[in-house]
Amino acid sequence: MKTVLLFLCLFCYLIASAQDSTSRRPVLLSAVATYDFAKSYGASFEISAPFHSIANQNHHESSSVRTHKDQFISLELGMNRRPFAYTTAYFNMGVGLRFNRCAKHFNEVSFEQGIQRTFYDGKVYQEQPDGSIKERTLFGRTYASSGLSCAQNWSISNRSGNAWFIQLRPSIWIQYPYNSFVKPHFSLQAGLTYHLRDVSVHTRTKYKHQS
Amino acid sequence: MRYFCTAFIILSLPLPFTACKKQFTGLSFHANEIFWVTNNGADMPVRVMGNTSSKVIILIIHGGPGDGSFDYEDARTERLREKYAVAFWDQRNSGASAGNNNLRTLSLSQMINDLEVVVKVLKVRYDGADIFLCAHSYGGLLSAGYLVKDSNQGTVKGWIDIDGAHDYPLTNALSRKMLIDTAQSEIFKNHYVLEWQLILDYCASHDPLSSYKVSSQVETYAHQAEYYMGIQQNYSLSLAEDPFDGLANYYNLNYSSAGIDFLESLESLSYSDQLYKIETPTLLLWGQFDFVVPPAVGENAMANLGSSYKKMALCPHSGHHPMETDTDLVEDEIISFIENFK
Repeated sequence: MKTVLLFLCLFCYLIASAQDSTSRRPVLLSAVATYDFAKSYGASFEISAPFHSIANQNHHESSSVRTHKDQFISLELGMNRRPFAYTTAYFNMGVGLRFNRCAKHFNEVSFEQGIQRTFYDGKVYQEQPDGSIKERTLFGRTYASSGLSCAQNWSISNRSGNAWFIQLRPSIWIQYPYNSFVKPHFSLQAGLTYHLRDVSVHTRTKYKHQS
Repeated sequence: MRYFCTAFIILSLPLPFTACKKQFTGLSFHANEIFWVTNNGADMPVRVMGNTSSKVIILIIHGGPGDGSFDYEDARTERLREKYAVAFWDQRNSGASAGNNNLRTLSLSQMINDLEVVVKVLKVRYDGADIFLCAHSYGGLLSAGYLVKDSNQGTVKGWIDIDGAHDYPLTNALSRKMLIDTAQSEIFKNHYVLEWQLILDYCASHDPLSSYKVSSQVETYAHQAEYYMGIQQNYSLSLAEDPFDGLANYYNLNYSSAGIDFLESLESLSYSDQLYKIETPTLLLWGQFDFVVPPAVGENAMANLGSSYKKMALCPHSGHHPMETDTDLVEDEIISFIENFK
């Protein structure tokens, strides 16, 4: 039985991994509008750069398909507003995986860790030790944030370079310590991604032959 | 790249224009503004809506603890906002109040201090406006604590207490008694027999004064009883409230040790024996079918208050939320009261 299974595996499929080489992978810029349920909206700017890539070369009988799985880091700077409440400025760093299965579309999953600062709407008042009331300017709170997101990107370029993509990115994240606990968030981001340039990254290529 | 920067700028452009109503610009007939009070680790929003030109402010002291003030925002205060300003204050760890590690400061005495600061800020911001406290449910305990402390009652023109629980042990005992009495009569009338029998069995064998757990269960039955008595209920979430804020506050109060300690500490609190200190004019509004804080609690307040003017009005179609179910009556009573004492 073991021999039969081994035979079937070898007959149908063959994987060979090469040593690390380099390939040119894209650095991407994104500008997105954000809606954070239930009441906040804003915009953010993100840059992501790959640091490692795994290429899969699939050889079928009549065709050959090359796909990439890029590991990347990202930096995001943005601002959200919740009317009649506060404005939040935030900075996130992320790490994630980008899956390129065809030239016209790729998707990403990433984990972000960041810091945010809220600034309250209207005036902020505080009682002083002498009992008087004083206004505080630019008063707010600093929170940490952690989140997961999953982005879909579709090319809108006619040229072969695929410079522009439309991005849709739902994410869940938490803000803490918020009233000694965590405040959950669900956000939806939509915007544009721009293929800035290609950089050389270490790449491990896996060759798969399927008959 | 040029297009990319343009896209980002266009996306960011609307942000600065969304805050056009937030700043205090003076008195107005149709004010809609927000300010915050930060006190001992909690940042509490106060949204002021209505006629600030009247120089009369009704300060909402919401229930819960842990609910938000925006529940009172819509039609329930519409006529009040035409004549006066209504200030919706979210207590610490409630509504949209924020802060970092502040749960350890959660206590009734701290919330009384918060209320002192909020009243002081309203006086400063609105140039000595007349302030009327309008408390509901747990807010009745908080406002009673505020009024009996030091010379606080001198800062307000009147106290409007809507189904307020100024005495938790009394409230628990009377709630149980009302549930048992009503269950017996409703079973006799063949109304919701199974449901009332369940309530009767539980209340007859459990004393809400024995533990917080029993007290919570009796309160749950008290809310259900309103439905069995045909009281219209409307617990829709206010659109102004962020459900994620509510989620964090609910967890904090009900599942963290500090929150549970706070709730348990309330169970023994009573201001019945201090109400005689309150000489401020007082209006008590009560739902006739309120099983959570029964009308007899209001009668206790009437008997003990030291106010020269005190009035209690029963709302015939209401349970624990008369401002929802007898809105016109509640607003009429409040307007008449304020016109007398502003």
